[in-house]
Amino acid sequence: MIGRDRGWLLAAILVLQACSINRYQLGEPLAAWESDQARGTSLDAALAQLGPPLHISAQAQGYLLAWEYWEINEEKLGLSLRALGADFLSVDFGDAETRGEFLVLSFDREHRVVDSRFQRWRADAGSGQGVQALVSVISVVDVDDLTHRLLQHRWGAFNLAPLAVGLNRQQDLSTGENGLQRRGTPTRAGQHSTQMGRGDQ
Amino acid sequence: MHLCSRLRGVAILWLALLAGCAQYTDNRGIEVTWDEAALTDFERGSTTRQDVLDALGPPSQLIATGSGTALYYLYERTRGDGLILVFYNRFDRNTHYDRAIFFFDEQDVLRDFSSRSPGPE
Repeated sequence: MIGRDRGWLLAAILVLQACSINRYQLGEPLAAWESDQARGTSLDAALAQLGPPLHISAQAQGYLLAWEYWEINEEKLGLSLRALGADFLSVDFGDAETRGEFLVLSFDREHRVVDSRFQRWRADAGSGQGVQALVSVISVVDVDDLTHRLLQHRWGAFNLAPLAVGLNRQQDLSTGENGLQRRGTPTRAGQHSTQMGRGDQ
Repeated sequence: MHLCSRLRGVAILWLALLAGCAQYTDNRGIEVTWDEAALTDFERGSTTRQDVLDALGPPSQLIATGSGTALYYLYERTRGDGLILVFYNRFDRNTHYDRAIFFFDEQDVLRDFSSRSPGPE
């Protein structure tokens, strides 16, 4: 009888906890690129080796091309009575990690590389723990700001943007004329801080 | 004993009903014919910007590069596969960027171009 009770207790513990794993893969890994030998490389050769870039922006003496690749791993572990219909207490743990590659090439007006930089990274994207009553209203880890669509889909949309964004048009990244930035760059500081939280995503 | 068997059956049925799987696709952007054959008519030094626009339609982005212009076409495809169990959920999302870029000189003549459709449909 005691053994049966232990069995039910073990089953209940298994049922009451949950694990959630979200994996994102954005783009494809970059082809090998030797930054030391990049200077003077033609646009044609760069495109043949790397394919079309994911970002492009004009600059004063030419233009920038950039390629990036992201892997995002988000793991959450929760202990809750939700499965039994009684969601009055939940304990949550979360952890997120990113891996990626980023390459930016700067071209002059003669379509030759004048500067380049490549980075490969593996980084902690955040973690958290929480005990919440009634409803789990806060996610202890969040990667939504890293998984947005590319800005090309929003080209021209600044004409319909809120005033705070429209007035900052000189910093709008979707035009392809005001620089570029990687995923995950905070928008509440720097060139988009005047947009009052309505930064580029 | 009979009650225990019934409860056990209900528990198994309950677990089975709560399990599931999911799959979705999410496509955004401009879908054009990305196979190489669609691009063989384009020649550096002779194809004009109008030729490209006629063949592929309006781009996702048009950029002034300082020494000409660039047309950028983007079709973003995301495929998600999920396994939803009572105490284990897993979701994998894979995003491909089908894209092409065309560089034109100040006379709107094609200088360089590149395209890539890296992943399966």
